[in-house]
Amino acid sequence: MTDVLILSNLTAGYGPVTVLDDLSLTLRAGEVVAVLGANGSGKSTVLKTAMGLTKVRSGSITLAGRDVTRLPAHGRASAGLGYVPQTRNVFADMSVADNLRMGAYLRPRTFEQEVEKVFALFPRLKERRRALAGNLSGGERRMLAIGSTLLLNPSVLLLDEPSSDLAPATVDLVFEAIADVHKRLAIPILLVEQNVTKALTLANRVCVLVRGREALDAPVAEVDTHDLHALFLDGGVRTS
Amino acid sequence: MLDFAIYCLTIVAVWSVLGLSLNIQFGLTGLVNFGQILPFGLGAYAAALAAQAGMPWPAGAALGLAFAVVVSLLVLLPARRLSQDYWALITLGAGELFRLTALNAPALGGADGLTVPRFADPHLALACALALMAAAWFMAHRIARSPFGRMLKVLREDEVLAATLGRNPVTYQRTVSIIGWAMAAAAGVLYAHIVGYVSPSSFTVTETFIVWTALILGGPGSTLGVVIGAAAVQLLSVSSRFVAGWIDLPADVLANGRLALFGLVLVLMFLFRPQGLIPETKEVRDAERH
Repeated sequence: MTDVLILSNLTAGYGPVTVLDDLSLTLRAGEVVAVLGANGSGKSTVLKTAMGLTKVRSGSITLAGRDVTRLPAHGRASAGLGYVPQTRNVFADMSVADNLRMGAYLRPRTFEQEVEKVFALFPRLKERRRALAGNLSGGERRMLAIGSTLLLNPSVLLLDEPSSDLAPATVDLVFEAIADVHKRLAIPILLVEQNVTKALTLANRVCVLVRGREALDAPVAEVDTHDLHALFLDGGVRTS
Repeated sequence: MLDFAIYCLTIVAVWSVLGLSLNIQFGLTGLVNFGQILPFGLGAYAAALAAQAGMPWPAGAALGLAFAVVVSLLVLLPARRLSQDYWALITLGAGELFRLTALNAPALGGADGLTVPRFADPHLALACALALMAAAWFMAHRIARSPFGRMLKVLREDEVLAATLGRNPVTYQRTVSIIGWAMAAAAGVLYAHIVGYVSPSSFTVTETFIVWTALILGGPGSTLGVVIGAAAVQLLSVSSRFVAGWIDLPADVLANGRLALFGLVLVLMFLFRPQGLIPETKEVRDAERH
Protein backbone atom coordinates (compact mmCIF):
# COMPACT_ATOMS: atom_id res chain seq x y z
CA MET A 1 0.00 0.00 0.00
CA THR A 2 1.14 3.54 -0.76
CA ASP A 3 2.29 5.69 2.12
CA VAL A 4 0.03 8.76 2.22
CA LEU A 5 1.11 10.57 5.36
CA ILE A 6 4.52 10.03 6.92
CA LEU A 7 5.50 11.56 10.25
CA SER A 8 9.20 10.98 10.50
CA ASN A 9 11.23 11.32 13.74
CA LEU A 10 9.07 14.21 14.93
CA THR A 11 9.97 16.15 18.04
CA ALA A 12 7.37 18.82 18.63
CA GLY A 13 5.42 20.70 21.28
CA TYR A 14 4.09 24.04 22.42
CA GLY A 15 6.49 26.91 23.15
CA PRO A 16 9.33 25.51 25.26
CA VAL A 17 7.40 22.33 26.15
CA THR A 18 8.23 19.20 24.15
CA VAL A 19 5.30 16.78 23.85
CA LEU A 20 6.22 14.45 21.00
CA ASP A 21 9.61 12.83 21.27
CA ASP A 22 11.14 11.37 18.11
CA LEU A 23 7.80 10.01 16.91
CA SER A 24 7.45 8.18 13.61
CA LEU A 25 4.14 7.11 12.16
CA THR A 26 2.95 6.17 8.69
CA LEU A 27 -0.60 6.22 7.34
CA ARG A 28 -1.11 4.18 4.19
CA ALA A 29 -3.79 4.41 1.51
CA GLY A 30 -7.13 2.99 2.64
CA GLU A 31 -6.03 2.57 6.24
CA VAL A 32 -7.52 3.73 9.54
CA VAL A 33 -4.80 4.12 12.14
CA ALA A 34 -5.94 4.64 15.73
CA VAL A 35 -3.62 6.68 17.93
CA LEU A 36 -4.24 5.62 21.52
CA GLY A 37 -2.70 6.48 24.86
CA ALA A 38 -3.38 7.71 28.35
CA ASN A 39 -4.32 11.33 29.04
CA GLY A 40 -1.39 13.62 28.40
CA SER A 41 0.46 11.08 26.25
CA GLY A 42 0.43 13.47 23.28
CA LYS A 43 -2.29 11.89 21.11
CA SER A 44 -3.98 15.13 20.08
CA THR A 45 -0.58 16.75 19.60
CA VAL A 46 0.13 14.20 16.85
CA LEU A 47 -2.78 15.56 14.82
CA LYS A 48 -2.05 19.20 15.68
CA THR A 49 1.54 18.69 14.59
CA ALA A 50 0.47 17.04 11.35
CA MET A 51 -1.75 20.08 10.76
CA GLY A 52 0.97 22.65 11.58
CA LEU A 53 -0.48 23.92 14.86
CA THR A 54 2.54 23.14 17.04
CA LYS A 55 6.22 23.98 17.00
CA VAL A 56 8.25 21.30 15.24
CA ARG A 57 11.82 21.07 16.56
CA SER A 58 13.02 18.25 14.36
CA GLY A 59 11.71 15.62 11.98
CA SER A 60 9.53 15.90 8.92
CA ILE A 61 5.97 15.49 7.70
CA THR A 62 5.36 14.18 4.20
CA LEU A 63 1.94 14.18 2.55
CA ALA A 64 1.61 12.21 -0.68
CA GLY A 65 5.33 12.56 -1.33
CA ARG A 66 5.42 16.30 -0.62
CA ASP A 67 7.29 17.70 2.38
CA VAL A 68 4.76 19.88 4.25
CA THR A 69 6.79 20.37 7.46
CA ARG A 70 7.16 24.12 6.92
CA LEU A 71 3.71 24.80 5.50
CA PRO A 72 1.26 26.81 7.66
CA ALA A 73 -2.08 25.23 8.60
CA HIS A 74 -4.03 26.80 5.74
CA GLY A 75 -1.40 25.55 3.27
CA ARG A 76 -1.72 22.01 4.62
CA ALA A 77 -5.50 22.20 4.23
CA SER A 78 -4.96 23.11 0.57
CA ALA A 79 -2.41 20.29 0.25
CA GLY A 80 -5.03 17.74 1.34
CA LEU A 81 -5.04 17.42 5.13
CA GLY A 82 -8.53 17.50 6.61
CA TYR A 83 -8.39 18.11 10.36
CA VAL A 84 -11.42 17.85 12.63
CA PRO A 85 -10.54 19.27 16.07
CA GLN A 86 -11.95 17.75 19.26
CA THR A 87 -13.53 20.98 20.46
CA ARG A 88 -14.34 24.28 18.76
CA ASN A 89 -14.82 22.46 15.49
CA VAL A 90 -17.78 24.43 14.08
CA PHE A 91 -18.65 28.13 13.87
CA ALA A 92 -21.42 28.24 16.47
CA ASP A 93 -22.88 31.57 15.29
CA MET A 94 -23.32 30.39 11.70
CA SER A 95 -25.95 28.14 10.17
CA VAL A 96 -25.20 24.52 9.25
CA ALA A 97 -25.27 25.43 5.55
CA ASP A 98 -22.83 28.30 6.06
CA ASN A 99 -20.48 26.10 8.07
CA LEU A 100 -20.45 23.68 5.14
CA ARG A 101 -19.86 26.60 2.79
CA MET A 102 -16.80 27.50 4.88
CA GLY A 103 -15.41 24.04 4.21
CA ALA A 104 -15.91 24.52 0.48
CA TYR A 105 -13.95 27.78 0.48
CA LEU A 106 -11.16 26.35 -1.63
CA ARG A 107 -13.60 25.08 -4.28
CA PRO A 108 -16.67 27.34 -4.13
CA ARG A 109 -17.89 26.57 -7.67
CA THR A 110 -18.53 22.91 -7.00
CA PHE A 111 -20.20 23.54 -3.62
CA GLU A 112 -23.74 22.64 -4.68
CA GLN A 113 -22.71 19.19 -5.97
CA GLU A 114 -20.22 18.50 -3.23
CA VAL A 115 -22.59 19.43 -0.41
CA GLU A 116 -25.09 16.86 -1.69
CA LYS A 117 -22.42 14.17 -1.21
CA VAL A 118 -22.02 15.32 2.40
CA PHE A 119 -25.80 15.30 2.88
CA ALA A 120 -25.86 11.73 1.52
CA LEU A 121 -23.36 10.73 4.21
CA PHE A 122 -25.06 12.76 6.96
CA PRO A 123 -28.78 13.07 6.10
CA ARG A 124 -29.43 14.72 9.47
CA LEU A 125 -27.37 17.74 8.35
CA LYS A 126 -29.68 18.27 5.39
CA GLU A 127 -32.69 18.37 7.71
CA ARG A 128 -30.91 20.80 10.01
CA ARG A 129 -29.19 22.91 7.35
CA ARG A 130 -30.95 26.13 8.37
CA ALA A 131 -30.26 25.64 12.09
CA LEU A 132 -27.63 27.56 13.97
CA ALA A 133 -24.59 25.29 14.47
CA GLY A 134 -24.47 26.33 18.13
CA ASN A 135 -27.95 24.80 18.63
CA LEU A 136 -27.04 21.35 17.27
CA SER A 137 -26.79 18.28 19.49
CA GLY A 138 -23.33 16.92 20.25
CA GLY A 139 -23.59 14.21 17.61
CA GLU A 140 -24.93 16.55 14.93
CA ARG A 141 -22.20 19.01 15.70
CA ARG A 142 -19.55 16.31 15.28
CA MET A 143 -21.07 15.29 11.96
CA LEU A 144 -21.13 18.91 10.80
CA ALA A 145 -17.44 19.28 11.69
CA ILE A 146 -16.58 16.16 9.70
CA GLY A 147 -18.86 17.24 6.83
CA SER A 148 -17.27 20.70 6.60
CA THR A 149 -13.82 19.12 6.50
CA LEU A 150 -14.87 16.64 3.80
CA LEU A 151 -15.83 19.59 1.60
CA LEU A 152 -12.13 20.43 1.45
CA ASN A 153 -11.86 17.16 -0.50
CA PRO A 154 -8.99 16.01 1.72
CA SER A 155 -6.69 13.14 0.86
CA VAL A 156 -6.28 12.32 4.58
CA LEU A 157 -8.71 12.78 7.48
CA LEU A 158 -7.34 13.62 10.92
CA LEU A 159 -10.04 13.02 13.57
CA ASP A 160 -9.44 14.15 17.13
CA GLU A 161 -11.53 12.20 19.66
CA PRO A 162 -14.82 12.09 17.78
CA SER A 163 -16.45 10.30 20.74
CA SER A 164 -15.61 12.85 23.44
CA ASP A 165 -18.49 14.35 25.43
CA LEU A 166 -21.08 12.24 23.61
CA ALA A 167 -23.70 9.83 25.02
CA PRO A 168 -22.89 6.14 24.26
CA ALA A 169 -25.74 5.83 21.73
CA THR A 170 -24.52 8.95 19.94
CA VAL A 171 -20.96 7.61 19.92
CA ASP A 172 -22.28 4.55 18.04
CA LEU A 173 -23.97 6.83 15.49
CA VAL A 174 -20.87 8.96 14.98
CA PHE A 175 -18.64 5.90 14.56
CA GLU A 176 -21.08 4.39 12.07
CA ALA A 177 -20.93 7.64 10.14
CA ILE A 178 -17.12 7.64 10.20
CA ALA A 179 -17.06 4.00 9.02
CA ASP A 180 -19.42 4.99 6.22
CA VAL A 181 -17.20 7.92 5.23
CA HIS A 182 -14.18 5.61 5.16
CA LYS A 183 -16.01 2.96 3.13
CA ARG A 184 -17.60 5.27 0.57
CA LEU A 185 -14.76 7.73 0.08
CA ALA A 186 -11.87 5.28 0.68
CA ILE A 187 -10.13 8.04 2.57
CA PRO A 188 -7.31 7.14 4.98
CA ILE A 189 -8.00 8.25 8.55
CA LEU A 190 -5.69 9.02 11.43
CA LEU A 191 -7.96 8.67 14.44
CA VAL A 192 -7.10 9.86 17.94
CA GLU A 193 -9.43 8.30 20.48
CA GLN A 194 -9.95 7.72 24.20
CA ASN A 195 -12.62 5.10 23.58
CA VAL A 196 -10.33 2.16 22.85
CA THR A 197 -13.09 -0.35 22.15
CA LYS A 198 -14.70 1.90 19.56
CA ALA A 199 -11.38 2.81 17.98
CA LEU A 200 -10.46 -0.88 17.58
CA THR A 201 -13.72 -1.59 15.73
CA LEU A 202 -12.75 0.94 13.09
CA ALA A 203 -8.97 0.76 12.89
CA ASN A 204 -6.69 -1.47 10.83
CA ARG A 205 -3.65 -0.52 12.84
CA VAL A 206 -2.97 0.84 16.31
CA CYS A 207 -0.28 3.20 17.49
CA VAL A 208 0.05 3.64 21.24
CA LEU A 209 1.80 6.66 22.69
CA VAL A 210 3.46 6.78 26.09
CA ARG A 211 4.72 10.19 27.15
CA GLY A 212 5.04 11.36 23.56
CA ARG A 213 6.95 8.31 22.34
CA GLU A 214 5.65 5.45 20.29
CA ALA A 215 5.27 2.36 22.50
CA LEU A 216 3.45 0.13 20.06
CA ASP A 217 2.63 0.14 16.35
CA ALA A 218 0.85 -3.00 15.19
CA PRO A 219 -2.10 -4.26 13.14
CA VAL A 220 -5.28 -4.49 15.23
CA ALA A 221 -5.44 -8.28 14.75
CA GLU A 222 -2.06 -8.65 16.46
CA VAL A 223 -2.84 -6.42 19.41
CA ASP A 224 -3.51 -8.03 22.74
CA THR A 225 -5.82 -5.87 24.87
CA HIS A 226 -3.79 -6.88 27.95
CA ASP A 227 -0.77 -5.28 26.34
CA LEU A 228 -2.80 -2.13 25.77
CA HIS A 229 -3.85 -2.04 29.42
CA ALA A 230 -0.26 -2.45 30.50
CA LEU A 231 0.81 0.39 28.25
CA PHE A 232 -1.99 2.65 29.49
CA LEU A 233 -1.63 1.85 33.19
CA ASP A 234 2.07 1.58 33.87
CA GLY A 235 3.25 3.83 31.12
CA GLY A 236 4.81 1.05 29.13
CA VAL A 237 7.14 -0.21 31.85
CA ARG A 238 6.56 -3.93 31.77
CA THR A 239 6.66 -5.52 35.20
CA SER A 240 6.57 -9.13 34.14
CA MET B 1 -22.16 79.32 21.25
CA LEU B 2 -23.19 78.16 17.77
CA ASP B 3 -19.53 78.09 16.72
CA PHE B 4 -18.75 75.98 19.75
CA ALA B 5 -21.55 73.54 18.88
CA ILE B 6 -20.23 73.32 15.31
CA TYR B 7 -16.73 72.66 16.64
CA CYS B 8 -18.06 69.94 18.95
CA LEU B 9 -19.94 68.25 16.11
CA THR B 10 -16.84 68.44 13.91
CA ILE B 11 -14.68 66.77 16.56
CA VAL B 12 -17.36 64.11 17.17
CA ALA B 13 -17.35 63.33 13.43
CA VAL B 14 -13.53 63.05 13.35
CA TRP B 15 -13.50 60.77 16.39
CA SER B 16 -16.28 58.69 14.89
CA VAL B 17 -13.99 57.99 11.93
CA LEU B 18 -11.23 57.00 14.36
CA GLY B 19 -13.70 54.77 16.23
CA LEU B 20 -14.89 53.16 12.98
CA SER B 21 -11.29 52.53 11.95
CA LEU B 22 -10.70 50.67 15.23
CA ASN B 23 -14.02 48.89 14.94
CA ILE B 24 -13.20 47.14 11.68
CA GLN B 25 -9.98 45.89 13.29
CA PHE B 26 -11.27 44.88 16.72
CA GLY B 27 -15.05 44.80 16.44
CA LEU B 28 -15.09 42.82 13.20
CA THR B 29 -11.77 40.98 13.20
CA GLY B 30 -10.80 40.72 16.87
CA LEU B 31 -7.42 42.40 16.39
CA VAL B 32 -6.40 44.26 19.54
CA ASN B 33 -4.73 47.45 18.39
CA PHE B 34 -3.49 49.56 21.30
CA GLY B 35 -1.76 52.01 18.97
CA GLN B 36 -4.62 53.28 16.83
CA ILE B 37 -3.53 56.83 17.59
CA LEU B 38 -0.39 56.17 15.50
CA PRO B 39 -2.05 56.32 12.05
CA PHE B 40 -4.13 59.26 13.27
CA GLY B 41 -0.93 61.03 14.29
CA LEU B 42 0.80 60.09 11.03
CA GLY B 43 -2.05 61.71 9.10
CA ALA B 44 -1.94 64.84 11.25
CA TYR B 45 1.85 65.20 11.00
CA ALA B 46 1.79 64.53 7.24
CA ALA B 47 -0.73 67.36 6.85
CA ALA B 48 1.51 69.62 8.94
CA LEU B 49 4.71 68.71 7.08
CA ALA B 50 3.06 69.22 3.70
CA ALA B 51 1.75 72.60 4.83
CA GLN B 52 5.21 73.59 6.13
CA ALA B 53 6.66 72.68 2.75
CA GLY B 54 4.12 74.93 1.06
CA MET B 55 2.21 72.05 -0.51
CA PRO B 56 -1.58 72.11 -0.88
CA TRP B 57 -3.73 70.06 1.53
CA PRO B 58 -4.45 67.19 -0.91
CA ALA B 59 -0.69 66.54 -1.00
CA GLY B 60 -0.71 66.31 2.81
CA ALA B 61 -3.67 63.96 2.68
CA ALA B 62 -1.98 61.72 0.10
CA LEU B 63 1.22 61.76 2.17
CA GLY B 64 -0.73 60.85 5.32
CA LEU B 65 -2.42 57.88 3.65
CA ALA B 66 0.88 56.70 2.17
CA PHE B 67 2.63 56.98 5.57
CA ALA B 68 -0.17 55.03 7.25
CA VAL B 69 -0.08 52.20 4.71
CA VAL B 70 3.73 51.89 4.73
CA VAL B 71 4.02 52.10 8.53
CA SER B 72 1.15 49.64 9.04
CA LEU B 73 2.98 47.12 6.85
CA LEU B 74 6.21 47.67 8.79
CA VAL B 75 4.54 47.44 12.21
CA LEU B 76 2.52 44.38 11.28
CA LEU B 77 5.45 42.55 9.72
CA PRO B 78 6.63 41.05 13.03
CA ALA B 79 3.01 40.62 14.17
CA ARG B 80 2.53 38.05 11.39
CA ARG B 81 4.43 35.41 13.28
CA LEU B 82 3.04 36.21 16.70
CA SER B 83 -0.23 35.57 18.41
CA GLN B 84 -2.74 38.35 18.85
CA ASP B 85 -1.61 39.03 22.45
CA TYR B 86 1.64 40.31 20.98
CA TRP B 87 -0.29 42.29 18.40
CA ALA B 88 -1.56 44.52 21.22
CA LEU B 89 1.97 45.03 22.57
CA ILE B 90 3.51 45.74 19.17
CA THR B 91 0.90 48.36 18.28
CA LEU B 92 1.15 49.94 21.74
CA GLY B 93 4.94 50.15 21.37
CA ALA B 94 4.74 51.51 17.83
CA GLY B 95 2.38 54.29 18.92
CA GLU B 96 4.74 55.32 21.71
CA LEU B 97 7.77 55.15 19.41
CA PHE B 98 6.04 57.57 17.07
CA ARG B 99 5.13 59.97 19.89
CA LEU B 100 8.65 59.93 21.33
CA THR B 101 10.15 60.44 17.87
CA ALA B 102 7.88 63.43 17.27
CA LEU B 103 8.81 64.77 20.70
CA ASN B 104 12.54 64.57 20.03
CA ALA B 105 12.87 65.28 16.31
CA PRO B 106 13.43 68.99 15.55
CA ALA B 107 12.08 68.48 12.02
CA LEU B 108 8.75 67.49 13.57
CA GLY B 109 8.71 70.52 15.86
CA GLY B 110 9.61 68.63 19.05
CA ALA B 111 7.39 69.34 22.04
CA ASP B 112 6.25 72.63 20.48
CA GLY B 113 4.71 70.82 17.54
CA LEU B 114 3.88 72.28 14.16
CA THR B 115 1.22 74.71 12.97
CA VAL B 116 -1.17 73.81 10.20
CA PRO B 117 -3.44 76.19 8.23
CA ARG B 118 -6.92 75.96 9.73
CA PHE B 119 -10.17 75.81 7.86
CA ALA B 120 -11.20 79.44 7.27
CA ASP B 121 -14.86 78.53 7.67
CA PRO B 122 -15.99 76.27 10.55
CA HIS B 123 -19.01 75.23 8.48
CA LEU B 124 -16.68 73.91 5.79
CA ALA B 125 -14.71 72.02 8.45
CA LEU B 126 -17.94 70.47 9.72
CA ALA B 127 -19.04 69.57 6.20
CA CYS B 128 -15.68 67.90 5.48
CA ALA B 129 -15.76 66.01 8.78
CA LEU B 130 -19.32 64.82 8.18
CA ALA B 131 -18.44 63.80 4.61
CA LEU B 132 -15.45 61.81 5.87
CA MET B 133 -17.61 60.22 8.57
CA ALA B 134 -20.24 59.27 6.00
CA ALA B 135 -17.56 57.76 3.74
CA ALA B 136 -16.05 55.81 6.66
CA TRP B 137 -19.50 54.66 7.77
CA PHE B 138 -20.36 53.52 4.25
CA MET B 139 -17.06 51.67 3.93
CA ALA B 140 -17.35 50.02 7.37
CA HIS B 141 -20.94 49.02 6.65
CA ARG B 142 -20.05 47.57 3.25
CA ILE B 143 -17.12 45.65 4.69
CA ALA B 144 -19.26 44.21 7.50
CA ARG B 145 -21.88 42.98 5.03
CA SER B 146 -19.49 41.65 2.38
CA PRO B 147 -18.12 38.10 2.14
CA PHE B 148 -14.78 39.63 3.18
CA GLY B 149 -16.43 41.01 6.35
CA ARG B 150 -18.08 37.70 7.13
CA MET B 151 -14.68 36.07 6.86
CA LEU B 152 -13.28 38.67 9.28
CA LYS B 153 -15.98 37.72 11.78
CA VAL B 154 -15.15 34.05 11.27
CA LEU B 155 -11.49 34.78 12.04
CA ARG B 156 -12.58 36.68 15.14
CA GLU B 157 -14.57 33.65 16.32
CA ASP B 158 -11.90 31.03 15.63
CA GLU B 159 -8.72 31.78 13.74
CA VAL B 160 -7.33 28.24 14.05
CA LEU B 161 -10.47 26.57 12.73
CA ALA B 162 -10.55 29.02 9.81
CA ALA B 163 -6.91 28.17 9.02
CA THR B 164 -7.57 24.43 9.13
CA LEU B 165 -10.35 24.97 6.58
CA GLY B 166 -7.86 26.59 4.21
CA ARG B 167 -8.00 30.32 5.02
CA ASN B 168 -4.86 32.35 5.49
CA PRO B 169 -5.72 34.55 8.50
CA VAL B 170 -2.73 36.83 7.91
CA THR B 171 -3.96 37.98 4.50
CA TYR B 172 -7.30 39.07 5.92
CA GLN B 173 -5.79 40.65 9.03
CA ARG B 174 -3.27 42.61 6.99
CA THR B 175 -5.88 43.89 4.55
CA VAL B 176 -8.26 45.04 7.27
CA SER B 177 -5.41 46.69 9.18
CA ILE B 178 -4.33 48.68 6.13
CA ILE B 179 -7.91 49.87 5.57
CA GLY B 180 -8.29 50.75 9.27
CA TRP B 181 -4.99 52.62 9.40
CA ALA B 182 -5.72 54.55 6.19
CA MET B 183 -9.12 55.54 7.60
CA ALA B 184 -7.51 56.81 10.82
CA ALA B 185 -4.86 58.70 8.83
CA ALA B 186 -7.58 60.49 6.85
CA ALA B 187 -9.18 61.49 10.16
CA GLY B 188 -5.76 62.72 11.34
CA VAL B 189 -5.27 64.92 8.27
CA LEU B 190 -8.66 66.53 8.84
CA TYR B 191 -8.03 66.90 12.58
CA ALA B 192 -4.80 68.81 11.91
CA HIS B 193 -6.61 71.27 9.65
CA ILE B 194 -9.42 71.68 12.18
CA VAL B 195 -7.32 72.42 15.26
CA GLY B 196 -4.52 74.14 13.31
CA TYR B 197 -1.77 72.61 15.35
CA VAL B 198 -0.15 69.21 15.94
CA SER B 199 2.04 68.23 18.88
CA PRO B 200 3.08 64.93 20.46
CA SER B 201 0.77 65.56 23.43
CA SER B 202 -2.24 65.07 21.13
CA PHE B 203 -1.20 61.51 20.26
CA THR B 204 -0.60 59.76 23.57
CA VAL B 205 -1.66 56.29 24.67
CA THR B 206 -4.49 58.00 26.54
CA GLU B 207 -6.04 59.08 23.24
CA THR B 208 -5.97 55.48 22.02
CA PHE B 209 -7.80 54.39 25.15
CA ILE B 210 -10.40 57.10 24.65
CA VAL B 211 -11.10 55.58 21.23
CA TRP B 212 -11.36 52.18 22.92
CA THR B 213 -13.80 53.63 25.46
CA ALA B 214 -15.98 54.92 22.61
CA LEU B 215 -15.88 51.49 20.96
CA ILE B 216 -16.72 49.53 24.10
CA LEU B 217 -19.40 51.99 25.15
CA GLY B 218 -21.08 51.96 21.73
CA GLY B 219 -20.74 48.26 20.99
CA PRO B 220 -17.81 46.45 19.35
CA GLY B 221 -18.80 45.31 15.87
CA SER B 222 -21.68 47.79 15.61
CA THR B 223 -21.14 50.67 13.17
CA LEU B 224 -23.91 52.82 14.63
CA GLY B 225 -22.83 51.94 18.18
CA VAL B 226 -19.28 53.16 17.59
CA VAL B 227 -20.48 56.54 16.27
CA ILE B 228 -22.79 56.94 19.27
CA GLY B 229 -19.94 55.89 21.58
CA ALA B 230 -17.58 58.44 19.99
CA ALA B 231 -20.21 61.16 20.33
CA ALA B 232 -20.88 60.29 23.98
CA VAL B 233 -17.20 60.23 24.91
CA GLN B 234 -16.34 63.47 23.12
CA LEU B 235 -19.39 65.35 24.40
CA LEU B 236 -18.68 64.08 27.92
CA SER B 237 -15.13 65.30 27.52
CA VAL B 238 -16.19 68.74 26.27
CA SER B 239 -18.99 69.22 28.80
CA SER B 240 -16.67 68.41 31.71
CA ARG B 241 -15.04 71.79 31.02
CA PHE B 242 -18.27 73.57 31.89
CA VAL B 243 -18.65 71.52 35.05
CA ALA B 244 -15.12 72.53 36.02
CA GLY B 245 -16.06 76.18 35.42
CA TRP B 246 -19.04 75.97 37.74
CA ILE B 247 -17.31 74.25 40.62
CA ASP B 248 -13.93 75.88 40.04
CA LEU B 249 -11.75 72.77 39.57
CA PRO B 250 -8.04 73.07 38.69
CA ALA B 251 -7.23 71.95 35.12
CA ASP B 252 -5.10 68.94 36.14
CA VAL B 253 -7.77 67.61 38.50
CA LEU B 254 -10.30 68.01 35.71
CA ALA B 255 -8.12 66.14 33.18
CA ASN B 256 -7.49 63.26 35.57
CA GLY B 257 -11.10 63.21 36.72
CA ARG B 258 -12.20 62.89 33.11
CA LEU B 259 -9.92 59.89 32.59
CA ALA B 260 -11.17 58.33 35.82
CA LEU B 261 -14.70 58.79 34.52
CA PHE B 262 -13.83 57.01 31.27
CA GLY B 263 -12.24 54.22 33.32
CA LEU B 264 -15.44 53.94 35.34
CA VAL B 265 -17.49 53.81 32.13
CA LEU B 266 -15.29 50.94 30.87
CA VAL B 267 -15.62 48.98 34.13
CA LEU B 268 -19.41 49.46 34.22
CA MET B 269 -19.77 48.43 30.58
CA PHE B 270 -17.67 45.29 31.07
CA LEU B 271 -19.71 44.39 34.17
CA PHE B 272 -23.22 45.15 33.00
CA ARG B 273 -23.31 45.50 29.24
CA PRO B 274 -20.25 43.99 27.55
CA GLN B 275 -22.02 43.99 24.19
CA GLY B 276 -22.20 47.83 24.28
CA LEU B 277 -25.13 50.24 24.07
CA ILE B 278 -25.99 49.17 20.50
CA PRO B 279 -24.98 45.50 20.26
CA GLU B 280 -23.76 44.00 17.01
CA THR B 281 -26.60 42.27 15.17
CA LYS B 282 -25.85 38.61 14.60
CA GLU B 283 -27.39 37.50 11.38
CA VAL B 284 -27.90 33.86 10.58
CA ARG B 285 -27.62 33.67 6.84
CA ASP B 286 -29.67 31.13 5.08
CA ALA B 287 -27.50 29.53 2.44
CA GLU B 288 -30.59 28.49 0.50
CA ARG B 289 -31.31 32.11 -0.30
CA HIS B 290 -28.26 32.72 -2.42
